[in-house]
Amino acid sequence: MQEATQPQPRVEPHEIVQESSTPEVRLRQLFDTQFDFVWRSLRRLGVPELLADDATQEVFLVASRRLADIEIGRERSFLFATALRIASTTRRGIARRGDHDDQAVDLLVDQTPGPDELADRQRARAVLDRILETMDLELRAVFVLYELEEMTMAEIAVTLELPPGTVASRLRRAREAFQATVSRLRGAA
Amino acid sequence: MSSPRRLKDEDGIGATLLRSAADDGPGASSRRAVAAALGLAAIAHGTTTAAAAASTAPAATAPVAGTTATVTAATTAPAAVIASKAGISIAAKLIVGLTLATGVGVGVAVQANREPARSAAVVLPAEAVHRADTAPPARVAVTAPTVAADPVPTVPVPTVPVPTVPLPMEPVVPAVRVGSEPHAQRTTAPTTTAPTTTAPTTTAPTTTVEPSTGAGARVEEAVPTTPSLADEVAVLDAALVALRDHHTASALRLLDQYDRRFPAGTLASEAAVARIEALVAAGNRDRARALATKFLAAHGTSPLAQRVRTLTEP
Repeated sequence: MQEATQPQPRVEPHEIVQESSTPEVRLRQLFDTQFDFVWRSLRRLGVPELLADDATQEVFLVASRRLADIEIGRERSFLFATALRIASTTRRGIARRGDHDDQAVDLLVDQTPGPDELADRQRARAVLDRILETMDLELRAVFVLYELEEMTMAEIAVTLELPPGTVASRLRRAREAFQATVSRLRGAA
Repeated sequence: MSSPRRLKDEDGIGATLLRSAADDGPGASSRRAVAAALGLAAIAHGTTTAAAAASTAPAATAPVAGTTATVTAATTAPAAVIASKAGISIAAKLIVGLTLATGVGVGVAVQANREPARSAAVVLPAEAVHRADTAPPARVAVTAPTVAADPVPTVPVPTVPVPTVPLPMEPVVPAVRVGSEPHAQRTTAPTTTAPTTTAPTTTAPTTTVEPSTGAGARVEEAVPTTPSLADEVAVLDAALVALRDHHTASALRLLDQYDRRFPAGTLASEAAVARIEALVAAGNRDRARALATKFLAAHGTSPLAQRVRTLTEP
């Protein structure tokens, strides 16, 4: 939605997000390149699939309002932080569980199908969701960015604006929690 | 910072689980729906086509060329994920859900703060949005000309210019109300081809309208999979979560979705109560009270009845 009076900026693919971009161009660019990332992140942070579209919309609405505050090159960081906040609001209602609520894990173990059935990816995904839900959101964020989004720890530190040491220790704790739950699943299967 | 090997590259259940996350991504319809809602219509433009279709007013004195808007703005709603949570004890979850939602009560003030986004941004008329939400893997293509029931295949079109395709930048605004469900044609085709119409130029052309279309709109949507209780719970659960988080508009949409997909649902009463609650939260007390009266007439002795009374007390 260009201003009629404004000439269409010539945008080269490699310099797509320039200071000179109009807010509209920038927002669209952001949307085009980061939509999937935001949607996936929300899901991985615990937003149910049925609410993921709405939540994604909220993230981009926040981004559109605060576009001027988003530093060039820090877009993902901003979007993920926003997603984290929105996911936390949405999640609050879903599961009021403790970080490593043993009961929740027990319940999970009871209801988790055996290894054969895990071959069914959809089922596996549902179980993964449930395991992640037992994780504290801070740990979960680091965990999904590293394990699923395959960011490096340095990238995560930048994205979450955390000291590298904190990222490392959260990742370690998250992996331990994940592995522990998985072993319990294996033990039960 | 030494980077450990990623767990999904290892063996075992954990890796299997993590790899399964690769399947989880937004469908094309999600992108379009959100783009449209954000007013980024140019992105959605490719999917929002409108073709011209001719229709005749019954009186035939002033034949009006109707527009056919193909709206493809569905939220993917395969209820798989939440359905898995359904295992927990449906009844308990629902009760907890309803109870927690009570706390929300008439959180209108809060809701007003939480909601501006959606209400401000959604450009689709309510009806279209609702419908778009219906179909599970869904792309709902609404081809909705105001076609008259007249089965005569050829319709004289006057020199009235055929409405043009909406500008790419325009938000999608189908000006047409979708016909009633019973007349809807369901096919598995995920996309609809809008009936092509030869654009009249100078001479009075004839436009063929598919007679099979019959009266009213033609709606094509993916056939929903056989609804199961888990699906019901998934939708209702999502609605309750939305309600609890003050996303009243989302809650109502999900409840509409519930009603459409499970007209004789096992949890219909719970859905009805949730709707009453959502309406109260939305400040629509009159409608809430009307539904409450209806509910109490039918289920006066239900355990939910007291809740309904409390909700709609003056």
